[in-house]
Amino acid sequence: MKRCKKFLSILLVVAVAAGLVLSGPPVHSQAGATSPDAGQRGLIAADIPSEHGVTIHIDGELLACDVPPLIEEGRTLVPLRALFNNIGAQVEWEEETRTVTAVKGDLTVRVTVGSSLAHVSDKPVALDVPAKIVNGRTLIPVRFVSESLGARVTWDGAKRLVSVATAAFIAKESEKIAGEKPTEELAEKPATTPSGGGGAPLPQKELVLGTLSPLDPLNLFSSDGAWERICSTGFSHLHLVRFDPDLNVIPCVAERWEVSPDGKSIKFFLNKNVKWHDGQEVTAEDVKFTFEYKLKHLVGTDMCTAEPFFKDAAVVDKYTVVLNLKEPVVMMLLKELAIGYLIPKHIWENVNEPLKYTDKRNMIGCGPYIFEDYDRAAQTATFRANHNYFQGRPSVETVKIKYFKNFDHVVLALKKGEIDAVSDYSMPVPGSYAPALASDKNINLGETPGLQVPAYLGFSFKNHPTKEKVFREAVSYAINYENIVRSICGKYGEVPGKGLIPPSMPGFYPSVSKLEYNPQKARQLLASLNIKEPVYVLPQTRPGKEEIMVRVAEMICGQLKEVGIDARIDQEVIGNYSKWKEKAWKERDFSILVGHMTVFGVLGDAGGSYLIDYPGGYGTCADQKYVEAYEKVIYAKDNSEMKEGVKEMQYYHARELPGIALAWDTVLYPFRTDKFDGWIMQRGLGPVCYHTLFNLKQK
Amino acid sequence: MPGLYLVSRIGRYLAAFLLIVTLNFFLARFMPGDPLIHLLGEESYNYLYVHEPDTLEGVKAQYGLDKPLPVQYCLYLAGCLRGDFGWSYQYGQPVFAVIAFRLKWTLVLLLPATVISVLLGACLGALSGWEKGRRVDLILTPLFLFFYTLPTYCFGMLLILFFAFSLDLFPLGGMVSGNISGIRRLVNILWHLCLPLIVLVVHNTAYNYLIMRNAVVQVKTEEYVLTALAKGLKERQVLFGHVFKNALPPLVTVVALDFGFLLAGALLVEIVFSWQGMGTLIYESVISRDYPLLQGCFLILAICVMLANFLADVICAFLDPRIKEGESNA
Repeated sequence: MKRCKKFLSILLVVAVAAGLVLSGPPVHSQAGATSPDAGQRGLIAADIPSEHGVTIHIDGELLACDVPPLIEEGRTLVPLRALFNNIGAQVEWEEETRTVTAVKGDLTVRVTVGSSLAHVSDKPVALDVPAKIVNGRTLIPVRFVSESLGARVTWDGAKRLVSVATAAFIAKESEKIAGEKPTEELAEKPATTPSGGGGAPLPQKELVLGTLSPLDPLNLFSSDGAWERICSTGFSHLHLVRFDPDLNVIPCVAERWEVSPDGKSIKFFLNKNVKWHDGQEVTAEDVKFTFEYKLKHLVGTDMCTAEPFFKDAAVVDKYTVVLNLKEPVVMMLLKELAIGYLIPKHIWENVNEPLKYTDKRNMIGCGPYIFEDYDRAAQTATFRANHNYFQGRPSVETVKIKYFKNFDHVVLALKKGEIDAVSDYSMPVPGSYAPALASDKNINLGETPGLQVPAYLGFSFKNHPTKEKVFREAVSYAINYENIVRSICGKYGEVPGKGLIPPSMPGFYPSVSKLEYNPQKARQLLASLNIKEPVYVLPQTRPGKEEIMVRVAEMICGQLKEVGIDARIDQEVIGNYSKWKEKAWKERDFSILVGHMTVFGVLGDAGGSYLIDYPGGYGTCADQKYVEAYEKVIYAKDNSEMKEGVKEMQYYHARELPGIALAWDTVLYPFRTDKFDGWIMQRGLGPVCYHTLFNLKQK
Repeated sequence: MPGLYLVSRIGRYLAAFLLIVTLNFFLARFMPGDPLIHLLGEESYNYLYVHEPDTLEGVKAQYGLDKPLPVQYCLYLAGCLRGDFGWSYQYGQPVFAVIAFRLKWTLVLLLPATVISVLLGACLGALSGWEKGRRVDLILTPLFLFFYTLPTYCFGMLLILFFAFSLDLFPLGGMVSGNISGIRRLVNILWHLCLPLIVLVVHNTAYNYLIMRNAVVQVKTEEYVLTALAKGLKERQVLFGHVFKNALPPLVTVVALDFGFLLAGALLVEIVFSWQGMGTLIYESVISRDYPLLQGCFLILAICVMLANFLADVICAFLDPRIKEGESNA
């Protein structure tokens, strides 16, 4: 024991010493490190502010502002108006949308309060933390200033001083020192969307991510594998369009697109400087090839989900391609495109069986990281930053992805610091691990509202009594939501709203009221119906989900019995998923269905397909009003049209109750905060996302 | 005639092998669940199931799942004879390649574990059986009973928590760290091997110990033991010169029988230590209904178990000449 203690104390001393030597102050706090010539530029002022205050200097001059800058969660927030006015920009506030717009020359910066996405000359830029209002002034993260204006921002922790050097100032200063030394750093083009810290040297620490999806085989199209999941977020492979942190569809390889008036064709204009990792250019031919290839070889797999809508593709010129659709489902297709990645024609045209292809060339994409090596025995893949990436190089040079077999192992590795985050498309860490993780101050639990509906009730519009609205209302009052939330989500859940669609879905409308447990009201409503016959509840018995769904169905039956409904579980489907599918989806013969809405099921069409009787749907509600709202969602031509449709669907859900969410959950994507700063949470999907790759800063 | 004995044994093994091959094929087919759901992913499968059943049938045909069972069986047998176990849906690789990799790493863990635990179990068990009721026995037997009842999963987790997480002496799991080669890689593998090896050795030693102890307890009452002692041989000489050899056959038989179980049954240890062995391979292929892979695994396991049993037969015949004589006389 004594020996053990001695060993531990030596270990501790070594660790502390190593920590002191290796860690050093944060990169952005070393004015000298990020801008070696900062002293010459006279950016650092001598005045030391009060203990908690933060001072801003712009081009060496003190910035006067009515609201002082503040530090929140380790981020410095600065007043937008004072700062932009100082550099001669016009600032306007639009109350209705709570948006600040600053215009200077041809540069327009738009920031919406509460949103973690800003726009710089119509290009989206992610914010570390959303803009907020303090004392009537909009505060934005200072890092955004560098990204939007191409300015250099340095932070001196000792003096609590933020120094902003504008691009013009830097240019002027560099002219002065030109000839003395060529500044490659300044010559480098600052990254556009979202920036990787301009010309700062890349951090040498490697980012290590843990995954629970197997890396073996090295096959891009294996739907259970890690490669596909990694690439879904835009890693080694990219998409035509992608999701921003708020899940809006924004440009990616395509710099813009035009939708035809009938909505049946989309013309994509590609960025001209996108290259595959082997140096060849990404062209319209590659885009066309990707779609045709998937249609030829991957129909019916997860990789070809856009197929039902897709008609054909036509190349207009080298950088323009038109995708023609069978139905005008523009936004639906765009959302599919934001997940399905492009593949290089010159490699895949010779591969006839993509599911059997395990060559290293699988991994040649055009994304921000280049695949370097996969060690099969170590179950570790290594990626290096793509320095020629068309949107600027990512901010960490090396990323490793390591496979773990179980959550226990992942959680221990995270606590021990072997990995920095868990990387898996929509595979959050179960809430039961939260206490173990929360005890570590260097771990952020990464809580985000879930994008799925962990359990919902679907009503049959064909059968009595569920087709009666009064009955559905009575059921909605008979359910003790608190109990159900506790039993399926533990601490990480909330009583859902009547709108059914969870809060992380773009277009979520918070004003729709919450569901209410009121058994007395349920009995009153039921009195008018006089129902004697039994009502059958059909729990979804998909292997792996069956246990929880049957448990929920039992709870529902118990609660319905309390208000006088003779609810029974349909025993025929227990342990028989085929039977369930036959009854629930083919014959659609049931009264109440207990099921689960998946992440993409919600993100795709706001969960409508689970309830609606419509081509592509699985439900029974054929009400024209619902169909109209649903069509608004699937036929939407842009983000805002889609959000409008989603809003209407929520109204309909709340009014007519074709289905009821039984719980909304909060999901956990834990990550470490001691090695890197600048993680960006993507709604419902966690911090390992495209934006984080460009925003991480070594501590 | 030892030759005849071996030939008759080989004949029996071949018959058993054919039976296993057949069972193997049908077992996989009669498990519930549609293999297509794992090939296509749930959402696509559901979509096709409801809206485009024809496409689903097409995909089924593509994987040869639409043919009648006898035809599938004949194709399977022919493949087996050619050494072609088919293509793993899940891994996108030939079944043989997947299994070869996993088998190699299973043996890296299992061979040392078996050798060490047999040696330890046999020696300690013999000692304890010989000294039944004395101090060695009183300490070792409860201790090994405890280890035998301690679930390997739990024991593994405890070792990880203490030695890997708290003391940081060993890795949390895995088989090797990435990006190293040569002798450093070898040392790194040994370092990763330590904890899972300890778990398996402790658990298997406990089992072997109990068998050997009981065998020695029985053997030591034989008259030849008394004779040997009467001749004036020392106790240790009697134990390891006479008793040990005669108490070994039951242990050899059990170890051989157990080998197959170990090959697939180190599942929990593999999961705890993220070791890529046969146990998890079988488990994963059951979960994803990867029929060809599953059949390949079972076949390889059957071959291994039969080889181990055959080896046990040979060793037992060597240890106890009565066995082969009895067989050939019969």
